[in-house]
Amino acid sequence: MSEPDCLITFEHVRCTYRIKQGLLRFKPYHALKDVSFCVREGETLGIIGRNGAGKTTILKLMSGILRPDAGRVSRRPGLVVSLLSLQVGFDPELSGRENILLGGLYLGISKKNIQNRMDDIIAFSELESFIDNPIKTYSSGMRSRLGFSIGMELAPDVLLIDEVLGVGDWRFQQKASKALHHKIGNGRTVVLVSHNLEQIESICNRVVWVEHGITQAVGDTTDIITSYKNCLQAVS
Amino acid sequence: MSPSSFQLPNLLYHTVRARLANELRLYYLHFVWWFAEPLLDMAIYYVVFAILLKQGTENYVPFLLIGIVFWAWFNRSLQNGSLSILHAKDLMAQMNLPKAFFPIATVCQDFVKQVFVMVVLLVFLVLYGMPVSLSWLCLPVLMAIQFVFIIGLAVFLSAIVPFFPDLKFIITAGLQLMFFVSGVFFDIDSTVLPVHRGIVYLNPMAGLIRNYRQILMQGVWPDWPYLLGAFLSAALVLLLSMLLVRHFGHIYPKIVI
Repeated sequence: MSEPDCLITFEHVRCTYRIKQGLLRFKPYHALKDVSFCVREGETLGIIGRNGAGKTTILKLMSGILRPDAGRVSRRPGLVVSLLSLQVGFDPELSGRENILLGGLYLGISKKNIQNRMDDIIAFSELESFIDNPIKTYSSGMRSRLGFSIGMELAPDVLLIDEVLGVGDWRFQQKASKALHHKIGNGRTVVLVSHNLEQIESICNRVVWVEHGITQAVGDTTDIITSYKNCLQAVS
Repeated sequence: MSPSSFQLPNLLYHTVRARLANELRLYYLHFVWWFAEPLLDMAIYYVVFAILLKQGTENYVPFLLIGIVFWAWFNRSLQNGSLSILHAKDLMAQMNLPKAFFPIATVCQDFVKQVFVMVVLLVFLVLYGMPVSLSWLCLPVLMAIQFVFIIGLAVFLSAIVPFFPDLKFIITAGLQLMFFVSGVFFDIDSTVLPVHRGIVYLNPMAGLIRNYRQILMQGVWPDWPYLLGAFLSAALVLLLSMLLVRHFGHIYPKIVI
């Protein structure tokens, strides 16, 4: 499994949430049971699977937010991984500008670097007239635009994208998609979670198919999407 | 992917600054409340204890105000700090941060407010006619000890609250009990029986409040051996709490309440 150009490797990863049930009782929920694959340098990897398959949990393990309960997630040392999720907004009480600064610092980017990129981030998000308002006053589309712009402009080594391409209106979607293609063209490593199979087919080199927390298949995009579609049709 | 330990102080500074600025922006009367709250508390205790119960001693107003100001700092920091990891749920789902960051940021936020209240307290004491003496110079030392004690307890409580959120009610009750035995509105040395005094002073807040009064009202140097003991136990609590929160750190993002 450990190929030389792997940035992030999953080996038989299990990840369990603890759902609070009573005063001292927690019910385990096994989001991932046995997941193995690797993310290669410069590729665009798609992750597909039905709702509750464990896709978002995989992204959280990649970014180091969660640790596996069994198995191993290994990352190349010094790798900057950022997670773009729809709920981005670090502190809803603070303004968009403050959230950009804190978001960048949380990612480990220097203050100077963030301030240099600040205007570009704001311009990309098209939130100029709202940027000094607290983000709790933003619509969900505006928040996602801000989150997407932070992740895009602050340029991590690996970009993790969780269903974020449905962000904003049609025009912003086109722009986001173009920016993403640009990153991919520049050899940036991207991991994309999406239910939009056409999108996955158009940008991903490889696909990981996960079902009930277990990897079903890893490999060429077209082959795997075909068998995934067959499987969905068989179920319905 | 996550801030290096080198960047954490920077992150802490910006988080605290942004939150305080935001607090002031949202409630423009907030700044006034930072001072008005202890003054209101003092008025209540003065009416109850000095007038109705006739418990007032000489200089009861500064006596009471010193007790309330330092108690309120302790109380507020622990109420806010103990819930900080629980409340950081959304941020923890997006970012990989050392979890002790959350209680420490909350405690620092309350500390900045305390500095403003302190300035007003000192001005009040001067206007009230309390003699300004060299022993006032010990104030930062006493506050540093209380600060370490607060951080240690806040980190400890915030580390266990996510597992048992019901604990917040017990924390409130525990703080209330501690308030009554810390000598905020009475003098422990003249009220509590000598056999019980040793036990009462095991609570560092009781000893700290007595020392604050000693240096600010009587111009007497603090009880150094007691303060050393209080500092060492506070530092020990802090060390153990940091180990605890590090041990549990990776579990918090997996808890679903």
